[in-house]
Amino acid sequence: MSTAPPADPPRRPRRRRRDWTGLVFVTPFLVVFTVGIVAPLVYASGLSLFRDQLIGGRSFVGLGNYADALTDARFLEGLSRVALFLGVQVPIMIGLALLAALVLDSGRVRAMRFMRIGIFMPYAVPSVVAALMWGFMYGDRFGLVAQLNEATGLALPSPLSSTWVLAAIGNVVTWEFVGYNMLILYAALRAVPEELYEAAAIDGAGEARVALSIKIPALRPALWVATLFSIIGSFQLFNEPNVLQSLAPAAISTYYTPNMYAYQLAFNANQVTYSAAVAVLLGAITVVVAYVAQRLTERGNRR
Amino acid sequence: MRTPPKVLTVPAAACCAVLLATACGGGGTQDGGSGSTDRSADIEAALEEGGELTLWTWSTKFDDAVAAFEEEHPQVSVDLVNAGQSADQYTALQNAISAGENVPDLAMVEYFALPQLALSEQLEPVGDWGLDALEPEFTASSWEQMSYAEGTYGLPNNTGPLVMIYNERLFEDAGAEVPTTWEEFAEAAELIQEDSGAHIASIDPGDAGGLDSFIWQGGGRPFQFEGETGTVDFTDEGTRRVTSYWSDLVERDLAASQPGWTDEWWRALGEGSLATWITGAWALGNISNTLTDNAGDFRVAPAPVWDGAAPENAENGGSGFSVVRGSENTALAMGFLEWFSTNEASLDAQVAAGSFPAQTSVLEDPDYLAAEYDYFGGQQANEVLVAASDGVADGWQYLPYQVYANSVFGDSVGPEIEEAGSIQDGVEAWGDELRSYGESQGFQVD
Repeated sequence: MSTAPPADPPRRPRRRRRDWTGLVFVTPFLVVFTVGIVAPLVYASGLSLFRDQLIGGRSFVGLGNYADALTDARFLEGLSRVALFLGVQVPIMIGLALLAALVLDSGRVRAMRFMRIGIFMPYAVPSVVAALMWGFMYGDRFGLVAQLNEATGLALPSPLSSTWVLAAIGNVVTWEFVGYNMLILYAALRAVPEELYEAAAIDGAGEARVALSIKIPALRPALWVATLFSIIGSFQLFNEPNVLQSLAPAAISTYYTPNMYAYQLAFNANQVTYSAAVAVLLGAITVVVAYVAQRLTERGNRR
Repeated sequence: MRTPPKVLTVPAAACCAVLLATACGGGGTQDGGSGSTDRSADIEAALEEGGELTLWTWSTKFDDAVAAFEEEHPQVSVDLVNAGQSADQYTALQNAISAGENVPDLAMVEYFALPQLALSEQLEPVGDWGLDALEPEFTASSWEQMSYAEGTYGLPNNTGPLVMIYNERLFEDAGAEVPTTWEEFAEAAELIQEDSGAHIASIDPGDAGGLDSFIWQGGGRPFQFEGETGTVDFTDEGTRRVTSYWSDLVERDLAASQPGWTDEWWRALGEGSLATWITGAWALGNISNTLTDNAGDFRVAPAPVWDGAAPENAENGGSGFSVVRGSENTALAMGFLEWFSTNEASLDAQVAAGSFPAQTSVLEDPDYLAAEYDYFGGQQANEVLVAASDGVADGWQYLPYQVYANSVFGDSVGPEIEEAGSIQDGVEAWGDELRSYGESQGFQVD
């Protein structure tokens, strides 16, 4: 005797209730994002299609401002300057940050907490204050440089001369951000599983070998994050040269960096619309460079 | 400026600036205001009725005069606001006017910026309110500098005729006479350099106003504008003698190339590595307030001139006060402006605060002339200032975009000063830039 298995009770199609709770959580972000980023971006992009004149007012020029900017010797000079800055200063800064993170992580330094705070401390100094402070030290008549010259009998070149001022700015920026980057890297190092070190120790790896074969590979994502921030920071370079300009008006022009140029155009040259085009273009270039850098890193990772 | 950023913040940061700043140029329908209208009855009535005024200035020299006004007009209250110094304030003003919000009723305006603000219709012509009848109360050159095209856009307040503040000891030690001509100035520079190694003066690679004054004094008139057409020309003889003179002093290391107003620069002046400061008359207050330890070290003399037989002077800086177009109570603002600029109690308070006034009633006052300055060794320095003011040569004009012009001075002239190159080449390059900028802004510039 067989009985047919009872038929499954007809499954009632469950109405999927849309859950809107998530939206409530996202709304504050969306509002701020729209007001703070999307709206200004749209507004600036719109503005950049116009031209302002003291005589004649505002007129529509389409992409004319972009065409001008791409051949504007001042914009291009600023751009190549921050590119040079990026190429030299960022590797030095990330290298120093990496070294500091590895040293701290090795646990072989004394007063580790003090060191960690000490290296990080400059990041807590606002960049305007940092630039003012360094500007004071750079003085070759009464500043630290003058005192060094006096004490050692050397004739150090003025850091604020046109030849050296970019390096001087690089030094300020490095001082400010080594600690910040170190912290990113150090945090990533703390996340490396202890077992790996144990295994390495069993295999007889020394401290240097552990750093090369375990720590640095583990740091790749963190290094990438630090580099990305630094790329963006380089293109945005503004505060340090802007503050030092009053001390070195002949060495730091009004178009020394693209951001300074955009500022000058908007606030002194009555060319807000052209300034908007320069800013949008700079943003686009930054995105492209950051993207290319990311692709290169990914390729490196796959290998 | 390297906070952890999001990729999008690059354009966004600039956009915030963009949001704040939109094009200038109100839609004023009034003409330049050449005609005079007597509206003293309206002004009287407005003062009677009272109200609130906002006045923008970054100087603290006017607090007491404003308080004196409020005391006499208890129904009026004046709010003093510091909206930034010089170019910053003009940007803020332009933004406020185009936004139509928080527009001040009055603002302090430096003479160099007046044409630009007048042209872009940011200021009320005083002629519409009959205040142009006050012209005889002010020095001729200050009145000229508050005027643009056909109108006068405010009342003059203070002026900066060039004077020479010098370190007496450095001259005495070097056995150098106090120079009265630029030739003697260069000779004194050599003596002082030999004696103490000090520079006779510094020239600021970032300060257009300083070199402009020297060019003015030397007879150059590089900027000539009428309405929307004009010329920028740095090739005249007056300009050339000034640029080659300073190039020579810098090249021989008799004058220092050094940005002014920095900590290093004040110390150089205080410690005697700069023998003179050739500047506007307003600077007496600045040096005595800043280099307090140096009381008694400095004296004031007329600035050296090119031709001792026919001395010509120039101005450095100076400013007036204007009623802003878009003020909600223009009549009351005009009433304040008149009282503030001409009433004796107001002028007394301004002089006491260290302002060098443009009002002839003060400049001719025997008590003012006889006043002794403890800081300058008891010298009756006002006599020097007034004589310097009397000697100012006329015919100088600023560009209707001088705020921009000054901002790019360091780009072209700066390196020539700093590297002891040819300042003449520098100003000619500056001129090229100013012509092309003028053209791009819709002016006709030759």
